[in-house]
Order: sequence, then structure tokens, then C-alpha cells
Amino acid sequence: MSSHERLHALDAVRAFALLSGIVLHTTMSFFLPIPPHVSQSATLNVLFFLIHTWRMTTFFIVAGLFARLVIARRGTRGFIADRAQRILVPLLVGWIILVPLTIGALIWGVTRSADPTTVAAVTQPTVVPAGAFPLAHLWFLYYLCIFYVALLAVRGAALRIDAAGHLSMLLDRGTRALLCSYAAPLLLAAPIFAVLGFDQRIAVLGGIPTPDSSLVPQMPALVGFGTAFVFGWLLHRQLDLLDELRQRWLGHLVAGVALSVACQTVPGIKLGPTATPLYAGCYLLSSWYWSFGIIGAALRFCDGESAVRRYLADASYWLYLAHLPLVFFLAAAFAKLPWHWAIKFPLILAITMTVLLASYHYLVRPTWLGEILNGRRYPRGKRRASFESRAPEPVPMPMPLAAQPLAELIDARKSYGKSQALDGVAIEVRRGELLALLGPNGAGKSTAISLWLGLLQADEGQVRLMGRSPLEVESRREIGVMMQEVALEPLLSVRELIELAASYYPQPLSIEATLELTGTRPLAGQRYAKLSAGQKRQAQFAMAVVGQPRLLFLDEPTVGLDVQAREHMWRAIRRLIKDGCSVVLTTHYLEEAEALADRVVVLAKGRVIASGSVAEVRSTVSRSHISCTGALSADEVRLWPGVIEAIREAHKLVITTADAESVVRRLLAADASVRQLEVRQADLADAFTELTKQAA
Amino acid sequence: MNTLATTLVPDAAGPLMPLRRLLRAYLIESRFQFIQALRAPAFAFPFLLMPVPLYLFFGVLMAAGSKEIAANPVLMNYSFSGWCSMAVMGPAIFGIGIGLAMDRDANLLKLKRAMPLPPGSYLIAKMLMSLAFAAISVGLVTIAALAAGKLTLSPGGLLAMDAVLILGAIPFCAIGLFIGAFASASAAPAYANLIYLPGIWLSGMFFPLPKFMQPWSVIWPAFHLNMTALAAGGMKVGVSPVITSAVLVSISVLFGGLAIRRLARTG
Repeated sequence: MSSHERLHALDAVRAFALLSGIVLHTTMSFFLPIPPHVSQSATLNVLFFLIHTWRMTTFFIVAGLFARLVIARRGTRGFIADRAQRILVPLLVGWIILVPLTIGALIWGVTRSADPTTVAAVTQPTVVPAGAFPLAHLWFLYYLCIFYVALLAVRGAALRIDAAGHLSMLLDRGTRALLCSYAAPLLLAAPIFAVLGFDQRIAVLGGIPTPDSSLVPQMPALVGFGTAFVFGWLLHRQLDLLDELRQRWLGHLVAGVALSVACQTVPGIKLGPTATPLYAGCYLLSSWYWSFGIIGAALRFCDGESAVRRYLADASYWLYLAHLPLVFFLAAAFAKLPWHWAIKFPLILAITMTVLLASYHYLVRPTWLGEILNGRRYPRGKRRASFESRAPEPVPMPMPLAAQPLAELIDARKSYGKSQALDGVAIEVRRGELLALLGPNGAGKSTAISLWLGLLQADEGQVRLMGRSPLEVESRREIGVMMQEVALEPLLSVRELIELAASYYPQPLSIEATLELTGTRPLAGQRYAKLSAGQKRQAQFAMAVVGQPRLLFLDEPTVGLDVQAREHMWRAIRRLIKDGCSVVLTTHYLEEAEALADRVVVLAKGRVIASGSVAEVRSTVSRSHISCTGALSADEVRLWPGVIEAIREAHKLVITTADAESVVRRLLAADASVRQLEVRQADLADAFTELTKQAA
Repeated sequence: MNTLATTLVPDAAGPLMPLRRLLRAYLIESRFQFIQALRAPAFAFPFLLMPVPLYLFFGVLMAAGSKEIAANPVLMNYSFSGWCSMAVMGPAIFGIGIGLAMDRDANLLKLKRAMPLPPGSYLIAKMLMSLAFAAISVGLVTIAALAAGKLTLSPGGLLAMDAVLILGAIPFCAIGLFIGAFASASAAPAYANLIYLPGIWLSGMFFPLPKFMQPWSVIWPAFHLNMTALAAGGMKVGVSPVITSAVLVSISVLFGGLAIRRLARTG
């Protein structure tokens, strides 16, 4: 049995424990006076007893096991972050939202009852425990947090003391020997028996008193559930031990059932007016046998991957967190209906589950709520890009540094609603080159850059920056950015802004060198708000280059600059490239691209329509411009073979042609008065116009 | 040989930021955040300096003739706590709420997200700025109150109360973040006022509320801050400080969490 299959089964166990909790809380109103149902049921009391026996012990075994799984996969820091998100946040937020609702529903239900003694008993609790605090059903999250903290402390200490691993090996051997017999529950129940064996509280609801009304950790819960948690942790150290549980599932269950029956029926064991140690012993033992039996049965029967189980496993956490106010509300609402419990109980359960499943499906699963609770969200309909998922990316094959592109889009797609901004685009930025990204407005240039900067995530395809995800801050430590339409902190001076930007990088240029390189020294002391539009661009450029980036993104850098400032910026860019920096440039000034770019990528309607060196792109349009003075009319020349267009422009004849040589020859032959003859190859602007016209 | 080796080994981990530089990055971000707040007189003046004259006028001068207070001087501690709570809330809700909304509108946040900012440094800087403002204004009101000789708190009680008040800025920072993360720059001041003004009056910090309104004071975060601070100072309050501080922590987590989710996803 693979460890994957085992984990699927354990996921199912956890879900089963949580969902059983909903059933358990639903039974409560049928035998307790909160609120007093007309329809009391001894059967449901027994059902409560049975679920209560194993539910939390089982849950904490699985929780301990998964805790070690997370720490093994993600390290201590990752573990803390993950648990903070999935346990601590639901505890705090759940408390502020769910507990008032729960208590409200409870009080409403009770005040509807006619019996004033019950009202008094519930609204004025007689015993207020130390540190009284209504944790309600969220107590299990609180205890999980306690266990996590304790565990991290013990683990930290153990790693130091037991560096050689002798102790843990001994522990592992002990666990194995124990589990290979039917006697493990005897030992595991011993600690909690020591605490509760002679405690009358076990008589109230049976089992470990639920620690739901105090922030002071309660000894029985700490010991009882702590044992289960630690046991789960130890199990994960040797996952193959689960196979022992799998083989013995039936035996464990039979033992659990027998002990439960004994607790309920055998005179001398059956609970009398005072709790007997015999009862406590049978009960606590049965908890462990039941738990082993249920985990074993799950491993035996629910090992494969099943879509329904997967869905329920994901949903169960939310269902359990949110169910209590609803269950209490429905119990109160149905309290006075004179129906048989066999109708009311399933009805309340059905309504609860329907409402909760619907809320999960629409409000939790596809939203950030689901991401917090389950660590991921399932978007409706859309497939997600690989970098969006939490699953670790496959490590890219090591490539020689020089060959590895600095930034890549691999078949990237991105749409906003119905409009497709990028439609399967592949672009790579190589070392030491300036790549000009050209295209008409709305072609997808900004989207492409936003993907590289991690500001947007692709719907499909991959985005890589320095061979990694752009969402990692380490990738972005090697880039500099100059964006369009950004207003920087208005009250800081240019020098301060550069200092601020420099602080983000491991090895920035000095402030003075940056001022020098970017020609911003005269602006250094001025506040950003006081600068002209062009000066603001210069300040932004300085902030982009101060980190000594290996890759620089410049989005329309020279808009608003005067000629001198633009020349200065071009010089600075050339110097950076000479020093090995790569640049991605978008611009509307094609002469800027022509002057600076090693390579050009032309985008239109979200696709790459041309790419290559400036010369290559220019040559995709094989045409020339001929201009001259002379007597020939444009209309006449337009009819010549090879002429695409001919016009008169201020005494000059301007001819566009695909075959300059023949046209010039014919021109000279036809008109002796031709003067000021000029032939010019198509430039990037021509190519650009032609290409984008074709794409449209 | 060396060159070859460096060429063939991919730098999978990326450039390492030394711990000192990383801490320095947080420090500089916070420092400039604070400098900016100080350079904006429309922000610094009302929130740093106004609480003192307001407290002296309403809390000391106006109360001077009251028989009730003469009979029961402990009441002065209550008004002190109320004015300090107000002083703490302002920079947190307005400073962060409006500042963040403006930065979002100006695409500054987008640029910061594209730059290699250490995780959370922008938000931490904003929060530290608010805490610093809270510390300064609470400190000033404390000095004024001591100078006026109006407090009956023990020195330890006063310190505990001030500490709670200053840390009590955190839930309001979270509310500010929430406003700033969701509202546009033009709407943010309106939302901030909507929380701030009713919060300080309807939480019963400055005067006893009419009876029918009293149960509703619990819906304002300011009420919980004030009660926690009073309890920390050793004053008698009607609610358990465990619950009021739990509410404050929950507010911080809830609003802060929602804001961070929102900021992580959009600009």
C-alpha cells in the first residue's frame, strides 16, 4: 500500500470524524433540555454516546499525523505559516463570527421553552471555570494550537539533545512493538485513565469533559487528546505501521463495540450514581479501540482516490466550523413540533447539510475562504496556470547559466473576462540583450510585462523569471522596474526615493553612482511632487537601476522627456547593457527601438506576429521609398509594374515599391529632369505598420 | 577554471539577502513612512497635537465644576482613557486607510509589489508609523494629565494602560488597512469617518449614553479598546477584559486578514 493511498484514507477518516460531529450535535437536542424537544429519543442518546466515544481521539490521532507530514514537507517555518493560516485564523475569525451566532441560537432556543428552571440553568451557569471564555465547538482548534506550540518546542529540544537519533529510534521500536499487538490501547489509555479514572465528571456526558468554556488548558483534554496527537505524530515516523491497523480493523472494532456495550448494559460496569473506575477504564479503552478500528477500516476500504470522498474531505472542515449555529437554530425552531424523532432528526440533518454544502460549494470552495481552510481553491471552469497552484513546481533542469533565459513566457494565456489579452505567447529574454516589445495599444505588452513582474497570473502556460516563479521575492531581487503611470511618494526627495529602492536589493549601487549614471544629480534634493513629468520619469529610472539588476523592465521610459534627457537615458541604457544587464523595453517611439534593440518582438491582438533582430523584422517588409523631383505625375507612375504607391509631397514625387532597382531605372529613362534622387530601405516603422495592418 | 564552474552551476536559490540588509530594508521603509507622515501637516498636526488641547478643554476644564467628579475623582481616569483611545484611533484609521487607498490609486502599490520588497514591509511600515504616532500622542496626553494632576491611577496602572492604548492601535490599523484595501482614494476618507466619528461618540467613552443605546456600544471597536485599557489600569469595568481583548485581536485578524488577501490579489 503506497503512502499516498494511506493518506487518502486518513483524509477520509478526518472528514468522517468532523461530519460525525455534525450528527452528534444534532442528536443533542433529542435528549438534553437545550432546547427541550417534545420528541425525546433514547436511541439518539445511544448514537451520541457511540460517536462521542471515538470522535475526538480519532481526530487528534490524524491531526498529529498530518502535523508531522506538513513539517516534513514544508519545514518549520512553512509549518508555522500553514498552521497559522489554516488553524489559527479560523479559530480567531470563527470565534468572532460563529460563537455569538451559536450562543444566540442556543439562548433563543432555551428562552422559547416554557420551563423557567431550564432557562435559569442555561442562562446562568452555576459553575464558572477559571479563565471562563466561550470557545464553543472551536475548542479543538485552540487545543491544536497548544499542541503545535508544545510540539515545536519538544521537537526543537529533541533535535539538539538527541542529535544522533538513538532516543527516537528507541521510541520508534517501542511504537512498532506496541502496534503489532492488540494491547496498544491499554497503554495509550493509561495516561487519561490516571487523570479521569476516579473523576465523577466522566459521568456527565461520558468521556473527556469537553474543554469548550475556558482558555485555561484543561488537564483531561490535554492528556487525553495530547496522547492521541503524539501517537499520530509517532505513526507518521513509520507510515508502514498503518498496515498493522489496516489488518486488525475488525478485531479493534469488535473490541470497541464490546466495551461500549459493557459500559451501557453490564451491571457493575454500567454507570451508577457515582462513576466507577471500571466504567472509566472500559470507556477510555473503548475510545482507542474504536479509533483504531475506524482508522483501520478506512485504510482497508477507502484507500483509493475518489472524487466524492475528496470533495467531502475538502468540505468537511468548513461544514464542521459553520454547522453549530445552524443546528442549534433548527433544533430550537423544530422543538415544539409534535413529530416523531425519526422524522425530525433526519430532517434537521438534511436541511443542515444542504445549506452547508451549498454554502461550501458557492462561497468557500472557489474563493479565498477555501484557500485559507484547505490550502487551495478550486476555480469554477477555468484551468489555472502552474504557478498559481500551491503544489511545488517541478525543479527545472539545470541549464548552463549562460544559456538559461532570464525571463520566459511559455505559451502564456491571459484573458480579462471575454477579451483575450494574451493568446498563447512565447517570449524569452536572453542574457545581455535589449528586447523591444512593440505593438499597438491593447496588443498585450503590458499584460506580458505584468506576468513577468508577478502582478498578474497567467490562466494557462508558464511564466518564469530567472528560472523561477516571479511570485518569489528572490526572483525579483534581480530585476529593476520602471512602470507607466506611477506616482511615487510625493513628499520624499529623489535621493530618499533612491535610498528606499536601494534598500530592497542585496548589493545596490551607491546613491551617488546612481545619481551620476542617470543624470539625476540636479534633482537629488527636490521632492518628487515638485518635479516635472520628464523629471519624474528620470527619478523612476534611477530607482529601477539602483539595485544593479540583471534584468531591467522599462515600460515607455522616455515619455515626456526632452531630447537631452532622452539622449542621457539612452546612454545610460547602453552602458547597462554593456555591463551585462538585459533590458525589456516597450515603447511607442519606433526609432527608440531601432536605436537600442538587439531583438524585437511585435505583438498584436495577444499574439506574437513577428520577432527577430531589427534588420530581420525590417526585412519582413521588402519595400523601399524613392523620392525625387521631376516632371512625372504620381498618377502615371502608380501604374508602373512594381509600384505600390506613388504620391506628390511638396514638389517631390514619393514612390513606395517592392522593386527599387527597376523603378529607378525606368524613372531615369522616362524623365531626364529627375533630380535629388533618394532611395531609402523600409525602416522599423514601416515594418511595424505593415505587420500590424496585416494582423488586424 | 573558476569561470567555468560559475557558468555551469545554476543559481537556483537566487541572490541571498543578508539578514542585516533585510532588517535594514524594514527599518528604512518604516523610517520613510514616518518621515512622510511628519511632512504632511494636514495629517501630523491634528493627530499628534490636537488630542492634548482637546483633553485639557473637555476632560479637565469642563469637568472642573462637576460635583459628580468631585465626589468621585476616579471618574477622571475614565475620561483620560477615552481621550487617549481617540488619539490612538485617528492615525491608524486615517493614516493607513487614506494613505493606502491613495497609494493604490497612484499605482505605487503595484510598483512596490513588482519590486523586491521584503514580505509585508510596506504594511508593517504603515503599522509602525501609526504605532509611533499613537505612542507620541498618548505620551503627550499622559504628560498633560499628570501635569494637571487629574489621574488617580497607580504608576504601574498608568503604564499598563498606556501600553494597552498604544498596542490598541493595531486593530484600528487593521480597519484602516481594510478601508484602504477596498475603497478608492476619494471614498476612503468618508469610510474612515464613518468608523471613526460614531465610534468615538457611540462607544460611551466621553459621556454616559442614554440607556437604550448602552447595549449597542459593544458594536464599536473603540468601546473594546477603552474597556481593555481601563481594565489594564485597574479600573472597574462591566465586561471581562479577556473578552474585550479577544474582540480586539479578532478584529485585527479579521480585517487585517481580509485586507491582506485583497492586496495580495489585486493592486
